[in-house]
Amino acid sequence: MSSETRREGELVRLGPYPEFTWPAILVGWALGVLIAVSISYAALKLGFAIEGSELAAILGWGILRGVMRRTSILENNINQTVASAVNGASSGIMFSVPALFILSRKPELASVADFNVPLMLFACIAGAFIGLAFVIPLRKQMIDFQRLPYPGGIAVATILKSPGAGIQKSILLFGAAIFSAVTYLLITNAGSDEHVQYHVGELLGLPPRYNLIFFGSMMTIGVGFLSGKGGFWFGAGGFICYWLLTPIIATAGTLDMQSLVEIPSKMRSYIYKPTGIGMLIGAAIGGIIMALPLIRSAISSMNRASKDKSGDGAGQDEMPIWLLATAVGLGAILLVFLAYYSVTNMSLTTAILMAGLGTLWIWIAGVIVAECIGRTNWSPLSGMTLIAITILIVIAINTGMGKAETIVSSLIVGAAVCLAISQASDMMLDLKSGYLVGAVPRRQQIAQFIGAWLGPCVVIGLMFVLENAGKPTSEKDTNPSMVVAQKANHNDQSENTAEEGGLAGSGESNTNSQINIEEKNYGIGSDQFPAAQASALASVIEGIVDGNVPAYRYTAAAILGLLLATSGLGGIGVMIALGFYMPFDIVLTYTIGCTLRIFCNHTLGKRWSEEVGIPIAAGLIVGEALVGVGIAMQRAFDIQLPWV
Amino acid sequence: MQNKILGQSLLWIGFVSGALATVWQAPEKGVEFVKELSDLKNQSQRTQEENDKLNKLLFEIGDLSQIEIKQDGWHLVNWTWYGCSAIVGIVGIVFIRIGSAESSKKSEKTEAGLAEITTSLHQLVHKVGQLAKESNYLPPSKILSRIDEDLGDDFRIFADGRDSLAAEFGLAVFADVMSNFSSGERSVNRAWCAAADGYVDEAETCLQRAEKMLHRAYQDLSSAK
Repeated sequence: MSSETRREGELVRLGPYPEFTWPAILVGWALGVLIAVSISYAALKLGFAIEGSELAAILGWGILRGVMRRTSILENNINQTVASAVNGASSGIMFSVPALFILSRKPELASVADFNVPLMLFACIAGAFIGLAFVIPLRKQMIDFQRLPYPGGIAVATILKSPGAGIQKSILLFGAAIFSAVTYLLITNAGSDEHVQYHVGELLGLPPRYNLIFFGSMMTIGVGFLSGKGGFWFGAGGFICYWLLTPIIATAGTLDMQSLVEIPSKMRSYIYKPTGIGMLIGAAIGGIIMALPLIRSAISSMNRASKDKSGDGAGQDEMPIWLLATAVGLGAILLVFLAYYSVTNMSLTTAILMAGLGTLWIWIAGVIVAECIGRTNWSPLSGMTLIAITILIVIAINTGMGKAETIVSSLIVGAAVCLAISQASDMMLDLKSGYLVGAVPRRQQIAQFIGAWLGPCVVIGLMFVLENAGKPTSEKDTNPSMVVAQKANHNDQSENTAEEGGLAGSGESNTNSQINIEEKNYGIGSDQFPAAQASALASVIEGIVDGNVPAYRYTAAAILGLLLATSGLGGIGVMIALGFYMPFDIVLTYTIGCTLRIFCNHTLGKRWSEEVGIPIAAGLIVGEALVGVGIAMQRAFDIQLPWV
Repeated sequence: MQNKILGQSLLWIGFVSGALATVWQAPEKGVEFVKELSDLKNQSQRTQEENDKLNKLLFEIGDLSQIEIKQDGWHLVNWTWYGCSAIVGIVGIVFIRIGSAESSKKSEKTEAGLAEITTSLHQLVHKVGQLAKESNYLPPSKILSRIDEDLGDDFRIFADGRDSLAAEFGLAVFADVMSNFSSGERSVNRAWCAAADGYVDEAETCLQRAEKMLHRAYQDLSSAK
């Protein structure tokens, strides 16, 4: 217990400084569940998930300090770590699992909705734990040694530190947050147009191929400012695409390509995005090879510190490597078990192969995501999950499994990978904010594990509630299209059961399969919960199952990424690859932030940038993020605002 | 220096040329899409069905939600062109490596950077130690302002110049010095938070720990020299 006294008129507290406490964990769980449910619901409705760390920090501040009269910045840091760990499941699961429900609307795939729910739940939890165990040893390398900026982590730390930062910094933070929130409301017409673009190229009379369009987002400018000079390579990737490659193709390319470059959004979908994914993989593998000596030094430094008996606590800072290695090993064994029991026709060899490659991919994707989010604040979650699912489907389908079984087993292991990537990026952001407030990494890492298991339970539970929401309870309530749907479902399930038993291996759909059952007007995939991200994944999965993978472009781009990563020019491979992958309007607006930081550093000094610029940039991120969450909630729950 | 410039030029030429070879051909679906769109657009008179189709295609243009379109088409990349580009890039990397090895042998810039970070680290050890001693009687607001005003610049100078450590002494020394330095900086950050919340005991303990860790970093650096 602490006691209070006064020193030179100021309040002084004596005793232990609260950090890893029950109130922090309990409030973290409660806020995490609240945020995860809200954001998952919104993700199904609107098609995108939102990072919850800033929201958790602000709500935690209000509850812990305002309501419970707690007095510790570090306690709130643990609270936001737990809460964001719970919420990490919303982006991970909402991108992957609903695809099963959506695919089940096709008659020949109706059985995929009957996946084993406890297995899926355990897969998500195992994936989350493997992701954390893989990424935690990277803390030393990426945060202590490379000092990657992690803009989101800086924003959260700025919020956490605001009670002690003095009135001037608080005014800057909250002033910028209000400015960003109001600007967002104004430019998006109170959220009705969430992706506002400014077609500057059109105003300047430039051809559409130059894609000179800016994304209307103060948050993106703030993120660019926090990334600073290091973020420029991200911008360079986008410029190489649209201002170098595109004009060359427009001048000397084939006629088809000359037409395609004039539609930049299609150019990105067909050409630059898959190229970016391939390049990211190559750059990450090259980055791992190049960073191996540094990773080895970081791990041996952690090992030495853990054996340190000097009594200064350095040995207690990190989770022991042996424990993390054990977690990875156990998680991988659990994944083998889950893959094996995911479908009837799974052989042990295939299960070992799927789980082994899934685990290996979690490590590679964990490094990619940790670096991308550290340098730019954007995580290529969808691209990394897509690659994982492609690998898993290729393995499964080549062992002779049916379509439905391939999809179910791949998505169970794929969901684990998706959760792992989502948790890995959240952990690194939290460890960065923890570094800036002086938290003990080990305590934050334990807090992340404490939150990570709860998210999948909450989000998968919510998904089943929503999948069955509005389901007719009796024949009387059922409309004709649903009767057709249910009959088709029934027949298809019988067919699949036979197929699983080896009686029919062709996978050809029966007569009922010709019936359009997409009219089911409730649950996930319906108009009520369109789940746009998962729908996109579902369509891609169908393509992969049919053998359509742009492996040629991935391979060519991966070698280029490898080339850049091994050049010795730092992390430019990943940054340029991300520039290929992301929409150019976001890249351009982000570059404004980077330019502003460089300008401020040169004209006003680095100290000004840190003392004034960073609180403003953090405020820009926080304001837009909070209003974004608010608008998503308002739309998801259909709350009518009198002034809209 | 010349090797480095040559290497950089070759690397980027190889990369851009390789990227161009990678993206030179459109997948069939993209070609179909463009053909269909331009055919419909160029028609002077369209039926209702064609109008609907055109609208659908135009809608697709604005649709950014697609993950990607997939086609099996190894023939779409000109592998000879691509291979030559990759070789140019690899030659560039070799030149960059040779240039880096030459410049790390004797570099005034590295020596100057090293001197600067050694001074800033020494200053930090001294200033943090002094603050740790005074923190048992200073009020929290004074501890906060001393951390903000006295220590920020030295931490920044060391962090910005840390690459010279790796260049001069290798990764093992870099890892040891940076481990202790980061641990010290994190302890100062913790002292700041503790002081902001009024926990002066914790602030004092953290500053003492920070001094110890920064001193270790300084010792590691000195013994490497």
